[in-house]
Amino acid sequence: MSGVNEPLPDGNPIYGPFFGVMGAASAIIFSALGAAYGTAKSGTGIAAMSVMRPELIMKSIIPVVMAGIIAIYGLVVAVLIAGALEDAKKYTLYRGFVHLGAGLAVGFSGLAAGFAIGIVGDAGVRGTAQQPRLFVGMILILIFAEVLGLYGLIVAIYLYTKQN
Amino acid sequence: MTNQKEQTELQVFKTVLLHCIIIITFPVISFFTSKIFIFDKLLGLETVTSNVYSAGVAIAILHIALGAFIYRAYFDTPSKLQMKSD
Repeated sequence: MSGVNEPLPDGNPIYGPFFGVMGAASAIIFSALGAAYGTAKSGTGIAAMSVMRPELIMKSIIPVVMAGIIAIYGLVVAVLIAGALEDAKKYTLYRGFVHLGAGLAVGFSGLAAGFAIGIVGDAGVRGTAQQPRLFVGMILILIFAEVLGLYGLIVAIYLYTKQN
Repeated sequence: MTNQKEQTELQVFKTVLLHCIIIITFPVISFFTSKIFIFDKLLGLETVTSNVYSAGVAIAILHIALGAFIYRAYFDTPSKLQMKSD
């Protein structure tokens, strides 16, 4: 590292970027965790249902796609934060905290949304095989679960725009 | 009968694959194209502002693609109910 002997300015400690890096990492880690749970849980439902009703596979893929979108939310925030990371000399501690908060906001919202999508997708797909009119209800519930992740994304982007 | 069934299966696979590719690639492409060409070069915005706007564009494209997939899945699937006989 260049300029080790130069003292860092006040408010720019050497560990400042640590928080930003952790924010970027937690954004994608927790979103991917939620998306993986949603994919796996609704995938078991699809696999169980398709044995008897293989013509419904196209309809029942929707929870899996929605779980994948949760991971894209995390990816967007992680890319935004990673693009704003800098050397400790130019990176204030405040920005590190803001980036950590942004990453945790989208990460845990994505985790929660992924759990909801997984459970709703599993039960909804199994139910749709027996009563096709349930499909509209399943889509609505899935959208409301997906929106939880979107709220986290909005808060994360709003935090990301905070600068000093 | 079996031939036709396989064809429809291939059709379904093609449709799902096409939509998955659209949903995965279009937001990424639109993020970087809108950032580099529209918000940075054409409008000359700051880094943070252009990042936020292009993220918004990518998310909007993503939801349009998801809506197209749900529409397709809802209206393309044969709605006739196969009664189970046992």
